[in-house]
Amino acid sequence: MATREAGKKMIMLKSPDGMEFEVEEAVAMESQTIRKMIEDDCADTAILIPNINSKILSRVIEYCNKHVPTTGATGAAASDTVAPAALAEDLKIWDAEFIKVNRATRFNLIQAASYLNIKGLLDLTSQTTIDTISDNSLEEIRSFLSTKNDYLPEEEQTIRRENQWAFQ
Amino acid sequence: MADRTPSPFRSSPSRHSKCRTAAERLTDDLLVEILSRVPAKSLCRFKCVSNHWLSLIHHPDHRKKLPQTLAGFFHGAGAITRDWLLVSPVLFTSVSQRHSTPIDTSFAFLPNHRHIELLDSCNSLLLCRLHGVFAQGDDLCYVVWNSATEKWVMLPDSGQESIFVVIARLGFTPGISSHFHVFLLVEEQDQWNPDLSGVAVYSSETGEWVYKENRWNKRIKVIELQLSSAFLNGYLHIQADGQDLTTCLAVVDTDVETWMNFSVPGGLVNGFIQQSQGRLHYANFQRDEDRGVFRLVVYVLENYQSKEWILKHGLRFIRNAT
Repeated sequence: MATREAGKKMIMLKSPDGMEFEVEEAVAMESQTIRKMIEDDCADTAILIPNINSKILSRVIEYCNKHVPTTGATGAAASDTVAPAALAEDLKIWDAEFIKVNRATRFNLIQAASYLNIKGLLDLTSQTTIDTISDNSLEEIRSFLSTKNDYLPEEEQTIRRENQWAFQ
Repeated sequence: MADRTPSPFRSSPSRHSKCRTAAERLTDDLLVEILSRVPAKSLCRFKCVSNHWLSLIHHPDHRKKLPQTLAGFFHGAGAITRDWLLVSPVLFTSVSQRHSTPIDTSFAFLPNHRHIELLDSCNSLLLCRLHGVFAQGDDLCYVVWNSATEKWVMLPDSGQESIFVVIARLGFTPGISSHFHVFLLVEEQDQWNPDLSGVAVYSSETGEWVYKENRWNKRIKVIELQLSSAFLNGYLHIQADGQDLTTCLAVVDTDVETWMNFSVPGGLVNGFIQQSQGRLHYANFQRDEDRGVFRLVVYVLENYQSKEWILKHGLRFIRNAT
């Protein structure tokens, strides 16, 4: 977590299980949802983040912390010292490590990224999920995403026939 | 694809149930968010996962987010009658038997008109001629529209008399440019057997028509009922008849600057041109020297410099005596 520097405005994020996270306002504003709350003056000193437990919230903050210098207000300063391409490459490697989590955590991160409206994190988590399932069989996909096959046998036959080309 | 292979995702019961709870919290919106990142082909395969996924993929609200594949075909009613201009409705046939995408074929979103003629389509845009447009004083005009978004553009007057416009074609390559072009092939006036006299091209970027006289190095005719055309690489390709009635391809670019004409492979007639994987293809039937054996041949144009056609596929048909 970033060290607190003088003059930087801090925001308190609270998870429903009672944990509190103090983060820089710029980091919290990586979330468009929180940004809107701050801009609309709906955020006092603490913001309660519903539905996202402390374990997931801490991962989300970790992501925002890593991503804030390149996209946030301090972006110009950071890219003065490091070439943007190298910085992007470094972030890509970091993202790949960050997303090495179990399935439940990843689904929770998708949900959190969507609720908090963090585009980069939503892209990362959704794309990783798609990459995991795109080459798998339908049965594996159903199992992975806990979806039931609710087709009647003749319905399934018709839809399989219509989309046969996509199985080749 | 075998669906019965053991899953690499199965794990211990407790972990499994935890994952299930997390997966069940993925709302439909989040599922669509995930699905919006798959290529169109995978999305078609995913339609077979469940009825629920199928309805999500087909839902009109999600259509703009998800990659689209062929939904169906617009076509005329088939019968050409004396007053066909007034009676022939435009029909739409979906490729899917179930959950067909609702398509408005009354085109109520277009300007008020008496009759519509569908002329061409190119990469999700459609070109039509509207007859009896109220705002235009019962005149006809060209309209280009996107069926998915129902956004349309009415083109300004081309300056060409409509009876001399043999063919109107549309050129649009979404990955390359957000602008489209409309080509009008105009034929000679006062001739009983007219050649093409020139081409007028409308650019949506400039909002203007540019007309240039024929610069093909031979006389070119097009026969509307046999017309086969393709737009790719910024060129409109049309199958036409040369002076000596041999089939040739006439090519013109969107700037009306580059004009080319070259022969089709093997001296074949009445074939079919189309673009596939970014290359121009030509398909036709060819009779082998062996009597009774036909081959479906597909050629691909090697390049525009050598104008050489390479045989890509040849499929033999044995004619059935019965």
